[in-house]
Amino acid sequence: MESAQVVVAVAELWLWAGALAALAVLPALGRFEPAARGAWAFRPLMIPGFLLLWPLILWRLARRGAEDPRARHAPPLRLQAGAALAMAAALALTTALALAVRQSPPGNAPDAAPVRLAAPQ
Amino acid sequence: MSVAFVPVQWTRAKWVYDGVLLTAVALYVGVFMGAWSMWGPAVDGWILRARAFGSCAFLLLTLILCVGPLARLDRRFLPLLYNRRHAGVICCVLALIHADAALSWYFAFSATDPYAAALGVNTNYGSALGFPVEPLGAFALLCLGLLAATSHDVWLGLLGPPLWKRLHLLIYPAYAAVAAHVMLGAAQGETSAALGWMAAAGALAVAGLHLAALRRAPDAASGAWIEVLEPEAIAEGRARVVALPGGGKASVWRHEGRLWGLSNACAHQNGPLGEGRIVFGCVTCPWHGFQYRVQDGRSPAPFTERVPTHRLKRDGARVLIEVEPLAPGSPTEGLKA
Repeated sequence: MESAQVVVAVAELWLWAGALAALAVLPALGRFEPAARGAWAFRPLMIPGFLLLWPLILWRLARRGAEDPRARHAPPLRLQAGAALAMAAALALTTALALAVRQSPPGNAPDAAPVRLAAPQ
Repeated sequence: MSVAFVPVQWTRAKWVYDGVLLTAVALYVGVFMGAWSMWGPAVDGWILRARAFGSCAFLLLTLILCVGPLARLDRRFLPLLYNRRHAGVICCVLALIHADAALSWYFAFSATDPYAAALGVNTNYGSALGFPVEPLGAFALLCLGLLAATSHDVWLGLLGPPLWKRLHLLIYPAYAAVAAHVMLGAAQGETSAALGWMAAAGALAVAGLHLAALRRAPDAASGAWIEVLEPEAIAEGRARVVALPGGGKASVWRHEGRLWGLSNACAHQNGPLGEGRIVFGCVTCPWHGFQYRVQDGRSPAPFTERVPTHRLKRDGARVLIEVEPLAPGSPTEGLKA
């Protein structure tokens, strides 16, 4: 339970840091993204993403222009195929495991007719 | 494909899609809660809400994951693919309502923080029976939240398409976690095995369709120029997808008596261009309708997106495509069909 409390406390700190990052970056978004110049209505939609992904966003903003432009047109097809295969294997394994360990509940047993209990004296 | 971002680029098709989806969700939740109240065992309102919204989220996520491979196997499913991201956001909201109802019931009077209690109350990780399913649900909810939070197009620019695309592959482990959350959790506690069988059927459908779609993917040839198989079979306004050495893909289009080579990856979300069609002279992505001219891979003005083009040539009766693409937006001459 203590480690779960640590996880929750770290998550709270993480979200607060994300809120600060959103406050710092969102008003100046037009400097980084031309299509955001003069457009404000969509920016509140970005707050949840900032709360969750702020380190990734700050890292990306810090190395803007350093990425390979060809990468934009090269989707990770092999990685996607691998992820889909791994998911299919995990689903098959989970299904087999879940059906194997399922216990017959008392209500399904043939001799499980209801028994009327006597009231305590 | 906007020149300035807006919260949602509404079109008539999106209104219809979302209207049908929300109506179906409301009907499912209403019928589930009504039927359970009348014929099911008596349960508290929080539990009923958790079950109705949780099962609806699982069903919707199953459908979302089936749509991709189904559209690849049969073009008639393509309309379901359009606006799939709104379905993903709705699924995330349903999962949040489920989580809130479950926490509100099971940990309402907990002395510790309800989130910490949910994550730490069961540590029986060594056994499939009674496995702690709460962390599985929390992981899946976190993934769904990440995907919904980054579904707006601005995230493609901010994170860059390669990172954005990799982030959205989280849908696969998320679904595996949801399936385990249901099958090792709620389905084990039910008197009837029906819920377990339904969850298993959904999970196996997702797994089977993905395997079928992967099997159908073309094998790559090798060399600087590779053959385009059966170019005469490409219909007007349609394309054939060509697997390139190195794992990439190109698309070869037939338009007004000529063949044209383009990248198969849309500049927007890397949607499969070759599974789309030509509308008003432009290749139209089947995912979100982004358009590119076949002659140079550029979006018509005022839009500025570009995709790489590929040169084509004849070798006797064969049509060959150059593996190395030209720079995005480079004009080509095409090839007389």
